[in-house]
Amino acid sequence: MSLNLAAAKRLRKELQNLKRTKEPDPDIYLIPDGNNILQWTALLRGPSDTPYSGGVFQLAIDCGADYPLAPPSITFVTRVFHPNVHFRTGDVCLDILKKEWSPAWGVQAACRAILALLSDPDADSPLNCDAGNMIRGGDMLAYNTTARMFTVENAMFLAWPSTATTTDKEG
Amino acid sequence: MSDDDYSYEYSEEEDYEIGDDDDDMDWNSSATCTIASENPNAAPTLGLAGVLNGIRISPADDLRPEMKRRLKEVTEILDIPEAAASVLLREHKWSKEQLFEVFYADSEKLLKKCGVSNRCDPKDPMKTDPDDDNCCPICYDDMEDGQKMSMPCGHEFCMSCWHDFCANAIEQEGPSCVYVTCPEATCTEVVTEVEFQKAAPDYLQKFQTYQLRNFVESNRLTRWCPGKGCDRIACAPTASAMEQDGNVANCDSCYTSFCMVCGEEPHAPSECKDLAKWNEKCRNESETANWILANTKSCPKCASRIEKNQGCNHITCQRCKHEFCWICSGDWASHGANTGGYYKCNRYDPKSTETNDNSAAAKAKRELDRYLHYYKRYHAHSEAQKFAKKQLKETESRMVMLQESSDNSKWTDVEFLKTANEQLVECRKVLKYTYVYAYYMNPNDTLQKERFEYHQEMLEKFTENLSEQSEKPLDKMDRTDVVNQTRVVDRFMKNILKYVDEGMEG
Repeated sequence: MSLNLAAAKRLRKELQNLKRTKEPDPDIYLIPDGNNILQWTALLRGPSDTPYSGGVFQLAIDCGADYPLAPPSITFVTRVFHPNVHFRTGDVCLDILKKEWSPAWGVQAACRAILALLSDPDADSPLNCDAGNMIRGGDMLAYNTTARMFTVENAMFLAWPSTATTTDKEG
Repeated sequence: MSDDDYSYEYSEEEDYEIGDDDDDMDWNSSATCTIASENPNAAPTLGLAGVLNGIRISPADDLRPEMKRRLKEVTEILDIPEAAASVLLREHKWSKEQLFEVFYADSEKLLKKCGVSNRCDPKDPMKTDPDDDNCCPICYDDMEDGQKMSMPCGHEFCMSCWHDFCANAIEQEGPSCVYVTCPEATCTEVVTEVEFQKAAPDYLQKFQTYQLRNFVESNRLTRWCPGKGCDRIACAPTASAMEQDGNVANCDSCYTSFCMVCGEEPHAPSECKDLAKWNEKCRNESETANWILANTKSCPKCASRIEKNQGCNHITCQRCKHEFCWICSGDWASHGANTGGYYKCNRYDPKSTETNDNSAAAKAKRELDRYLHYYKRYHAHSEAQKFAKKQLKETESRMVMLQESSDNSKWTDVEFLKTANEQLVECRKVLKYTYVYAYYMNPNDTLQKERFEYHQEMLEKFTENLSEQSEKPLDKMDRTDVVNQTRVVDRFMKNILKYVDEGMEG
């Protein structure tokens, strides 16, 4: 019970900080579930110079009662072709979301790490073996075009929300 | 395979020898293996090696002083805090010698790598971001003075978050909580007993227990009793005792006996390394083998399915009364020595499969056949051993019944039943491992192979006899016969172990 409260309290503060900040991250949009502060939705802009560029990817973030001592579980809702993302379930294989998690991190830091992962795939611990094999085999053309195809097919439909709560216009 | 398991960065693991003095256990090693056999009918106690080998069984807590002694010594010699010493020792399998060697080669690198550099050299602790308001990075609440704590690395968190962090480490990480590092991202400072004491005294005891557990597990001279839920520890007096195959420890709390070297069930005559290979192989092949070895067999005559739920390999079909051997499905009549035949079931004869074909597929098939030959027999004895163990549990009630059934008989008059049953368990176990041994025997030394198989055959034959005898209904059981069979089979068991032990000469 008390842990659950601690997680909710901390997440409320994270939300507050996100709202308050002068320089919101232009590539990450975070919003908690209306009636459950432990569950968030995130939108990520595919990094430029990657096959994900121009796409908007939706993530589901689920913080357990022992958050932030335990990492949140994050999955891609938008289908994505990437060696470290499970093609069907959207699970993400990222060390900071597992063993290397630090309670000093928050949901935004986790999203930043996922953005970094999109730019810099790690082909040696693949959840999507096809994508991993393409990169390990040195066939970047195959990887780039396949990932691009799935981006165009799946990630081009979500509009980036205008930040509703503040008057800020995103640049 | 097993060599790869050790990838120690600093020294050659294999060559590392423990000196006479230092890392050996410091206790008065009194041999505690006593052989209790007041019963005149008891089979003489079994292990050839493993008796009086100086292995001590003690509760885990008895090792605490030994751990403290090493800690204290390292603390003094290296002039570092005790908490740091415990981390360093843990990273070096609690071997002082190993630690010193690395420490004196490059102490700075070592301290950094093990996450204790700040603890050992607290002069320049990294301070947290000065811009940071006094806000705990975990709960985002303001920290009051006196309600915050940092490790020597300088990262501050509020006491309540420290407590939850420590509690979470114990509950989620279990034994590996001893490796937990500073909550700050990417900080490698290791959390130690000191922090637990300050922030989470309610979890201190658990932490210390895990620390001790780590000590036992990484220590070369100790091994946990593998018995379920048993917390005893077997301690060998010297390093050589841990290397000598066939050193058996007997737990005095849960009565599990196990090999001191590999922790498995005592497995004479096969060696630890062969057993490890065998178990690995069985795991890999298990699906094939299971498919081939369905749990039931058809009667070779009338084809009705038969489930073997008794220990003996002599099967009589309930339906057509055909008698056959469970292992080879051959007629039982061709098995007994008295009918002039021989008990051929233990012998793998490569000639029985076609050998002319040298294609890879044929070779693979021959290899599988060879493996299955040994696996089937290994498996059969393993099952029979389980059955005999189960039977042993029921023996006591059988003994009571037997005693009541005849007038004037004393408890010692029926004790032979228990002895026979214990012997049976032991023989099944040895037989099981003779097949592991045989599988890895040099196939070209025909003489050795034949002799080994002869011993095996004798043991198998008399074990089957005893098994049959001891399963008879009580009123049909002949006490003298069972007692004799028990003695005879014990003799054969010892013969084969001795034969292997003496290097298969003669």
